[in-house]
Amino acid sequence: MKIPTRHYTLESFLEYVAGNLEDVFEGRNERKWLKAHLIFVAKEWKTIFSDLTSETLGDVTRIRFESTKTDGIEEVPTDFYIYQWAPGLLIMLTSSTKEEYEKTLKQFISSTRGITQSWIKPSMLDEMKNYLIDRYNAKVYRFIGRRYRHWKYPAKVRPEYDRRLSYSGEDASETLKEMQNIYGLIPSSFDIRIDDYKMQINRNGLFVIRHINFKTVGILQELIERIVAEQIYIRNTSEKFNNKIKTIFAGTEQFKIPRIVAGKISLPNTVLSQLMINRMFHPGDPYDIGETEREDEDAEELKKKFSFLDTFVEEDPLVFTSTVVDEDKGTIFGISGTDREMAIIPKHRITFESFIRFYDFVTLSFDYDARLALFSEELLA
Amino acid sequence: MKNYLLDDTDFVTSLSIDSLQSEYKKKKKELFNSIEQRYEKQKESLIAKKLEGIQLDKSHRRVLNACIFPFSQEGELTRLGYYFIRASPLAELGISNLDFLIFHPETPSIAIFGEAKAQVYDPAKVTEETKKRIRIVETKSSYVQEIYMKNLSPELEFVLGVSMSYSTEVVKTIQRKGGGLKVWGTGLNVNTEKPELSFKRPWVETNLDGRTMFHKDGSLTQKLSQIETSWEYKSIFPESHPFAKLSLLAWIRENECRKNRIY
Repeated sequence: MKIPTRHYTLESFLEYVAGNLEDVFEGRNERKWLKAHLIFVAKEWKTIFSDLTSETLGDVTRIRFESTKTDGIEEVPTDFYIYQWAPGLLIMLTSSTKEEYEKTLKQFISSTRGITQSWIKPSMLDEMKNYLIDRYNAKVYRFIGRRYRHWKYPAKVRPEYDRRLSYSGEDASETLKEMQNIYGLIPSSFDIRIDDYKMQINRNGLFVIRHINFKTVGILQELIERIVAEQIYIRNTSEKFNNKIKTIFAGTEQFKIPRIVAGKISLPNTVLSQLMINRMFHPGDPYDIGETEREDEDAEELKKKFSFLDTFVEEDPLVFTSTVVDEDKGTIFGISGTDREMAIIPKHRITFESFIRFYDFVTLSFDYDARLALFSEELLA
Repeated sequence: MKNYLLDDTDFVTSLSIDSLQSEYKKKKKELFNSIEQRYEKQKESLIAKKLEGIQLDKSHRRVLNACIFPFSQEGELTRLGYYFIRASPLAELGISNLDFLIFHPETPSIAIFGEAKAQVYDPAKVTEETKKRIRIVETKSSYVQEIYMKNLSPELEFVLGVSMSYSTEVVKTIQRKGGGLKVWGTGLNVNTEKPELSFKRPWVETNLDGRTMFHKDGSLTQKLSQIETSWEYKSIFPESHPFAKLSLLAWIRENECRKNRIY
């Protein structure tokens, strides 16, 4: 994207993009798409990007991944425009292709502590779709739906099967509704049309605006605003998990004591079993189904991200413990669980995004409506 | 420093007589074969023994972690001013002793030494063993006071933490053996189905032995009831199984590699 250097607010930035497509997308003949990545970061996020070229344009910051040579071919630099939606939550706007994103920001995220892509809970993504249909008479024309056999989301037909459906068609809204009722599918990605304008929304916090205009950039802001409270809750809760040495005072004496702020993930719609936990601890599941789309690549990557060491599982009643290693970020934490809940015990080299990714992993594997909270927090059933 | 040891090839060369060389090689081969055969015969039982040891260590760690976790995590017990200080007190003196130390530094200061047991097949034996360990702590009381308590003079209390299924039997046995030990039980709460830690009241509360089985601090006795806890907290303790310790070393090494890779 080519954006002139000046002072922008988010609104004036988006208005400029929507009103100057020819200039902004100069040199790109097709696919003039605006992509918005929702990203969780440490609150001092500017230091995370300090090794990249950056420029402040008012409320918006441009960062640049410099050009590289691949097979002797010089590639163009890739720009992202950052706006801090709330402390710890960024929206990163770009026109980069999937390949460009994977070589730049995606790689950067997986090798840098203090940053991760956001994710939208399946139940929230479903609510978002319903809102767009009700409010804007949106038509879903393509979707990818998933169902994992452990989800208790109702399914009339063979609920015990994992399934994935990619569907395109003018009747996709109706089909999705039918698939939800019959097969218990929940969308992990959907493409919608509002009037003649197309947008795509993904569970990994990626919004793609295929027709950029004042209406669609307005809807983008509205959608993010609708989920921001939940996003911030997840981010801030995960950041509280820690394991520190604290000094306490008794009279004139000081004592150093280990203090822990643990977390928990509760599973209101699932009863875990030994088989489910064993499958988590020892992946290589014989029931895996083909996963080729991007959203599912993310899900597959998530499975490989965690290693389970020193595992213990016992049934009747179910009890399990393990040490978990986030292979990308180096965080080590423990889990201690029963059939309805697991405690998260932070241990070493803690960074908040490891807990967010693990929460995502548990949601995907066991319960589409799993809840993250502090260990000491009472959750309403 | 000069190395006086010969390697095997040099040793064979040094045996200048051919018959001696072949005799040496033959005996060596026989010895290697017999070691290999012995290992093959015992392999299964050796592996089973190690696995059993690791499994026992895991069960022990679950009970131990359940006992100490609520004294590190913000909650009712830390709000009372009781804190987990360390595992395996006195281990640094080479004394294999009790499993944990919880401290209440505010006046009246109280130090709670605890032993965790995952399996209690013989409650009388476990009671006796724990009491022996208590006597060792008492002989080291000045060290405990100076090093752990910074010269405060706490009241010492002793706890036996056990799986809930053994707790009733253990309470009765301790009372029959003269009391002096408090019992904590850990297991799944029947209502919430979450792991809990609870103080177990003596069988007969009013007699002298029964009274020694209560904490002096009545508020601790009262609060330590169905406290939500975790079986996972510390991965390793000084008394852990050697294999568990080795696995920790492997994690540390892996983590060091990661540090070099990630900024």
